Amino acid sequence: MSGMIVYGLVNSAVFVLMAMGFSLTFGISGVANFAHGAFYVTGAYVTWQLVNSLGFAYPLAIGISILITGVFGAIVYWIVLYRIRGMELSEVIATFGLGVGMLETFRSIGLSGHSYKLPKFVDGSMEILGVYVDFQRLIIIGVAAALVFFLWLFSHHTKMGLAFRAIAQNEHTALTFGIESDITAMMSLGMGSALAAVAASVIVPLSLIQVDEGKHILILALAVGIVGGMESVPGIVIASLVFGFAQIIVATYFNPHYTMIVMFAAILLVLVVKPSGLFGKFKELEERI
Amino acid sequence: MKNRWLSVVMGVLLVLAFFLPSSSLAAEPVVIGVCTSLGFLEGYECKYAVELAVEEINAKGGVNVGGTMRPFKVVSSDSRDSEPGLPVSEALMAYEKMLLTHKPHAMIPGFFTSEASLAAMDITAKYKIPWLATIAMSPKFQSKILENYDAYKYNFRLCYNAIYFTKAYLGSLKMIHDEFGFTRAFIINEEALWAKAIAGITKKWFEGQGWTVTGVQTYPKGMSDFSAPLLKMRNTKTQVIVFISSRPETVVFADQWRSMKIPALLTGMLPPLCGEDVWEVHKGKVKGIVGIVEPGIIPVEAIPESLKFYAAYKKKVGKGPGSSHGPGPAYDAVYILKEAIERAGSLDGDKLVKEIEKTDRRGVVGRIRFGKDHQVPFGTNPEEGGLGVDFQWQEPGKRVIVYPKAVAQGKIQLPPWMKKAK
Repeated sequence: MSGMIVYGLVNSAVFVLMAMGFSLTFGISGVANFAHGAFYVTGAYVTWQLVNSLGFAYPLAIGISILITGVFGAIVYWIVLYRIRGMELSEVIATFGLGVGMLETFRSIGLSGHSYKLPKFVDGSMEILGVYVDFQRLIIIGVAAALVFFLWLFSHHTKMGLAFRAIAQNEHTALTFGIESDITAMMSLGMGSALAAVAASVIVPLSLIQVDEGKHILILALAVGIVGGMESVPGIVIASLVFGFAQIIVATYFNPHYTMIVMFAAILLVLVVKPSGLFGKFKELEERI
Repeated sequence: MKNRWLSVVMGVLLVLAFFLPSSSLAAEPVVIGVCTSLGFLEGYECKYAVELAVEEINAKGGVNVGGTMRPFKVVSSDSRDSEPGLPVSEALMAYEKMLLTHKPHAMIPGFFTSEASLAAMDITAKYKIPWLATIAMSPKFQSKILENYDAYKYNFRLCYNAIYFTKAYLGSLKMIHDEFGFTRAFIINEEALWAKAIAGITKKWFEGQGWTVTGVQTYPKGMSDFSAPLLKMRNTKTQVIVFISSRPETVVFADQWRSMKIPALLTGMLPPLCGEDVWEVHKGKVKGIVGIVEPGIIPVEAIPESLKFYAAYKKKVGKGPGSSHGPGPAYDAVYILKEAIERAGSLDGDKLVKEIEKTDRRGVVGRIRFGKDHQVPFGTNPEEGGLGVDFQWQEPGKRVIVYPKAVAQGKIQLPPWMKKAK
């Protein structure tokens, strides 16, 4: 039981990290980024290349990788999304296509195999409640908690964060308040992509850099966003806790195969009962308007 | 003087022009199709092994087809059948496209997954092309051949199948029981036909030997957190873990097993953790893991061909092969094909099948002979058939062969956080 509590918490933190960047971009500022998983893989791959091919120090490589991925996200806005901004379906299709293209490019250049591995920040493990947990997983919990606080602070108490939320609620009204929507949307995509790289930097040392992880991350981020409420930071946390614990309970008492079924059942249930997600307000606001 | 020099050059050119068409370089090549998961370890390593054999044969003039020396040519295509979520039909399309586009005379090493391999047998039957498989391991491959020989006779398998693989490591499990007194085992396998077959056989064996099977679990492709099954293993006081997978998740599992200090010996089929560079890549964190491989992945002194292959492969690729199985048999398959073509004096599929069936040669994995089911038998004697060897990662970064006893270099050591049961 103690093991389930500890690892349920770790899993929840992993979900939070995976969903954070997606929530910031698509949830808070309403800019579609269905290449989120591909940015995650990009972040990890750039770090790996910097360390293994160019000999950069690991912490420096992580920093540069986060920066590069963020800038790449911003460029993607200007190249892919700028002309179709406001056409939501086109935004989704364009970014999804971009993501698939990026992942297939990684595959074609040979991103496969056990050597694509990032080292853990700190090696070793410690005993908590009678089970051993490695330090990297504890770091994940710490980083996830810090990012939740940062995202809440950013979206509620900074001008840029408020601008992110404003363009999602009503872009024309936001313009009348002097918010440059394209710059804001570009910043949103850049920051969301950088957050994907942050997530990759702390999660990937537990496994390998794998192309297919890009698709997996996107599905999980979507699931967390839909259940919790895309634009809600507390919603993301609650949904991550639900999925994190559901995953380990289902895998322990039933079969790991059922975890995805549970996830999709939760999505369906929430969409039927509360379409904006447990803590989301978009649908209600739209209906009120 | 100048005219004389020119006439010599012209004469040489004329002689070359006369002889070149009959030399192997100008002759139409014998095409070997490599249609497998080229993005995965077994896939690309088998391709390198096929290329290595082809380079060696071509350097000696090629293959004699009815009196004409012809070179081998390798054409490859990524079937991607090992990727999660990719339907088998996609892999079959890649296979049939290769058959129609490049018209290969034989296929080596075949698909990565048994699901695609079994489905492809009908396509092979349609085009009547010999197929020398060295990766997929489902025993159904053989039963299909026995059930309908005329249709499926073009298929051969040189690597161990699930049954021979299991027999090879069950011997080491018995040794572990005798040495340490362990009697509780947990089986975890990837979602694949061959892996499920091995899990089933292993479970029966454990129960027959008086062991307690503390759990059997199939994990989905792409699983990135194994804390739930590992906690189960710890709670059920498991002493031996049998992990059966050919996928990258093996690395994730092994890492989590170590960091959670699960008091159970990790054994099984762990291809991503078998290569000579693994100790360095994982900074020694694979210590204590027991894996099973074919000779050639690890050079085995008792089989000189495995030493020769390992050295040649390393020279070509820059490092030794790291799969659990496949590259050695893929290398041998090219030589088997060459010998069969030369005996048949033809590239006709039916004639080649008859000649391949007569194969009896010393190969990288041991003695290669095909049974009626077109499978090379494996055991503990390389003079009689193929050999599977168990090794353990031990200090200072060495793969120490621990089973079979005839070729063993050392004994199994328990991880530091484990104790003997007796």
